[in-house]
Amino acid sequence: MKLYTTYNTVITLTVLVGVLAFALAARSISTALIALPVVISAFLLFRKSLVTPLPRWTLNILLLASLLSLIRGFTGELSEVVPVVGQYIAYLQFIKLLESRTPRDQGQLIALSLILTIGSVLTSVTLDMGIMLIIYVPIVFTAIVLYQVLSGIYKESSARLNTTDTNLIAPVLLNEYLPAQATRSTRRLVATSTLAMLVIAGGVFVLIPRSVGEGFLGSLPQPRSRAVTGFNESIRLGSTTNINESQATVLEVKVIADINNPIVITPPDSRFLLRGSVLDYYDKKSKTWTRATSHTSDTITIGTGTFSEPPDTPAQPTRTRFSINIPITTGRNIFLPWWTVQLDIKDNHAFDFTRRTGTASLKQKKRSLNYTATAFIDQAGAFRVPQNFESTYLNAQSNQPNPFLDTRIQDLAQSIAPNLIAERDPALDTHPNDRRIAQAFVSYLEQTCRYTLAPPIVPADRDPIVYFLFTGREGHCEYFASALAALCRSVGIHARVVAGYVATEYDDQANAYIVRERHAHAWTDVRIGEGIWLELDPSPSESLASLHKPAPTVLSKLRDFIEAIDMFWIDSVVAFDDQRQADIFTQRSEDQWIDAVTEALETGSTEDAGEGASRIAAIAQAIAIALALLSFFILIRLVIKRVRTNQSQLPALASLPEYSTALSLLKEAGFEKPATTPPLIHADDIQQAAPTSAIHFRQIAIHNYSASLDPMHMPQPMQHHLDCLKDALQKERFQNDSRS
Amino acid sequence: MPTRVGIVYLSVTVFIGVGAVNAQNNLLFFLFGISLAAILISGFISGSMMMGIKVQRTIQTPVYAKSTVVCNYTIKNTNRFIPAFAITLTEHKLAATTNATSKPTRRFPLHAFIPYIPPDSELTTKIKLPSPPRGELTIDKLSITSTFPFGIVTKAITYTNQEQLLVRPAIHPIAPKAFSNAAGAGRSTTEDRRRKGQGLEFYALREFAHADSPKQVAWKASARAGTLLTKQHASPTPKTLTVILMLEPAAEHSELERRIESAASYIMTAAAKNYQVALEVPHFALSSKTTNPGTRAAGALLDILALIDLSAQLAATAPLPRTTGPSITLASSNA
Repeated sequence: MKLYTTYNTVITLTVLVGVLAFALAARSISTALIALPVVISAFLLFRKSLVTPLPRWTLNILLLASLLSLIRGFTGELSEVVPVVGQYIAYLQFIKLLESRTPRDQGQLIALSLILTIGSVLTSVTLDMGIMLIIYVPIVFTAIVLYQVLSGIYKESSARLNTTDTNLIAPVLLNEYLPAQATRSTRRLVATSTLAMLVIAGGVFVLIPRSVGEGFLGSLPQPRSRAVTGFNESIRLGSTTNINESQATVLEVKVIADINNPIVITPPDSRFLLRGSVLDYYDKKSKTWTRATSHTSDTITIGTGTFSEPPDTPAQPTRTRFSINIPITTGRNIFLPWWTVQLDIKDNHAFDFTRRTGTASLKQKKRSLNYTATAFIDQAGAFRVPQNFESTYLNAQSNQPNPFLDTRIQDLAQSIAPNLIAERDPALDTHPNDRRIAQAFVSYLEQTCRYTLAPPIVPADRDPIVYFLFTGREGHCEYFASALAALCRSVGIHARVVAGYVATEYDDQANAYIVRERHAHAWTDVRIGEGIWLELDPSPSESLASLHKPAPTVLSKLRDFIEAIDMFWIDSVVAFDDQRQADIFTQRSEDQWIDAVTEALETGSTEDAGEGASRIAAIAQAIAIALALLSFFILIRLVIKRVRTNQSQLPALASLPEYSTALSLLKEAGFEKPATTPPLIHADDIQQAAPTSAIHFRQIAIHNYSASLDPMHMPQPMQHHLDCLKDALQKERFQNDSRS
Repeated sequence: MPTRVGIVYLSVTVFIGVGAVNAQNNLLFFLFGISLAAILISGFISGSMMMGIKVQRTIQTPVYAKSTVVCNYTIKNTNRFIPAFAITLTEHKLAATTNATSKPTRRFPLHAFIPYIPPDSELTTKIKLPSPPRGELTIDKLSITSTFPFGIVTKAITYTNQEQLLVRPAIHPIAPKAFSNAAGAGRSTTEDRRRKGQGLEFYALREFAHADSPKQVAWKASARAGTLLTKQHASPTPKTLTVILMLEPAAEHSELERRIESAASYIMTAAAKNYQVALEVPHFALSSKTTNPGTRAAGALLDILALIDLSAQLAATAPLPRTTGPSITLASSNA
């Protein structure tokens, strides 16, 4: 192994993987795009040289430029500090990579790479980051090992030659070889050490107490965890990236249809809308629905974790209980059904509850959340919210221009329900016809517009709602909800868009609705009376569940697989907290674990073994598969080694036809050469029984050795020895036979 | 012992740990685990590696002042499975025990770097020590160190066994003509010192023995005596040279050292020319003579010169010794 060449490859890989990990964490495509050409150029430039071809002033200019980018990147926001500094460190690495390969610079390069990795982890804790980390560890380990050897040789050469000039030391390093045995040893050392490091790191990871000392140095920006919800606090129309098709679980919802009569089972085709945010302000310029912030007096803060307020409802509805678990929270939203009358949050976390919209949010973000919401579910879906919060809202609305007083939308609304609208008094906030008008709009949208997750691109100069209603007529739930709200508002009916999730996927084993990211949904609240808001979902209901599911393709299966790993990562690593830690040590005794795992492995089923056991069983299966793969790999290596050994031994000795013929003759005469005996030893062995034959065979063997090992060997005629051998073998065999 | 890099590494590890606790960032906890694991594994690898290393030092003798001393080291890795990487062998210092006027030209410590030693094998390396001063010399402790694999911790084994060396005076080449002028032609000594040997000179006659070569037969004498007689040859008589070294206390120290070196040079040149050499140092009342010609025997005289301590109280005056053969006197020009 040429030491420096190997080091050059490994250090290039180290920098590349480190920078790519950072680029992935910080979602910085520019860093990745800069990294590739720079790193490849540096690799090629320094493949056979240690001295930089770039003049010093070039590197100084690059340093200055990276410093300027650091200064320019600072926005003063704490969340931006790590990415901006990380970017600067990445640039420094590029510059270091282009500098002469002295031990000092190389040490700095490795240190920068390690610091950048810490920055990456501070920026993101996603699965891809974890994978990059696991790839990075052995590479940087190898780089450090080789650096230790290389820097030692460099320093010794420097002392011996009494110079610090890299130009003079370079030839020594470039010609330094490590024997093949050292290469193997290094590989083995890196492999076993990496494995040991991961095992120890896993142990430390599990054993370090959680939830102790959290935030004692102040709260820092949370890294990206990939567990993004598909729903947003705002809806921007015309954007093509709003729909998240991820399978990642966001909520687990257990429903008791009627808490007064728990025997009543929720019908399997039931679906529940869980609101997270109510958006009542539409900005035509940015084409965005946002939450109105001008009236917050309807929001109350609950510090005890429990809220209860019986609504002023016209009829006695069914009381339904939703037990909701959010495994990993990504925001402060609490997703609630309409209309929640009681909310109990586990661990008594404080929260804000907005009565007018029926939405709630935590005061402080938590890692995970469990809560129970009791709601009145009515087929009509309309509830009267407390009156005193309405006036503020209505005043705020009246002070704002109505963005939907577009003549085309108004004309369309008139055409859908002409008679009902004609009866309506525009001066009044509500009218008895409002419910029917809104339902007419819903019917119209269901009949004329097609639901799709890939809506046509809206031209930049067009309003997306107008485009949806009159041109495209295709869109997803956000377009349907916006169109309904626009139609209602165009005729003076108050309406707002609601963002949240639709629970449609029922898991029989868990007896709960699994709400995934792809179940993010938007619908509309329409005000149909004094304080009465009707929840309407204009999206085609019959195929909503299937439409939210992406088409099954090979890629989707792959995506499902990756998302399953992603969920495992989030569940086991990102969301690992004191509760899970306690579960590991206290839930079951060791014997119980072993029994459960054994049972699970034997039966192939983990249903009865419990969640923990099933996870352990899965890990045990994974370990078994890994061991099998490892055994297979070792077997293949052994076979390859054996073949190589045989190849390296045989061709050299069988290269001359005379030698092969001689071997055949010996075999025929009963003097077969054993495979493991060298030819000259064999000649000695047969010396006594066939002395003349041994002499001639020795000559042929020597000639064969010379021809095989010495490339300058001149071929000599061997036919004479071969003929002599043939004759001698005949005679001597005859003599031996007659003797015996 | 942690290196400077190691101290930084430990600080960063603590920083990661504190950051992980503060932010409850699980990937930081994992990174913290990897950092701790690296420290543990570093200690384990370097510890097991160093425990299997054995070093043996051998020094090429004789050692002359103003010339490099080559120390050879046999480094054996006794581990059956663990190879040794990036081993640095360090010679810490030399200590002269007699008066030393010259100082080492290269700074200590001196290092030799061994990139790799396979398991259960040994290799050799060498360090050239700087020019030592004349006299008794002590080579101090030797150590092997390694910061492998991560450069976090330096593991070292120190061998404290000191080695004593006698450094002979520096030898300078002397031109043959200058030597001839100084020593004269040299001559054989008196007849009574003759003895039979393999020389060309006739020694005696004796009766022919069975194994004698016919070439050795003295035919004329045999004819006269009536019996076969064989010629015996005399042993070649070595030429002798006496080197008289005058070390007057009034002379400068460097001048005296130069004279010692000249004496050593003449002794070795004479020995190389097969002289039997005698050394006289009147101020130290030293007198010695080689029993055999040749450089090996002359080494004993050089050892005497090596041990002359110029800082000792010298006799103010000393008579010039009488010599029978040719001699060279090394004294001040006005002596």
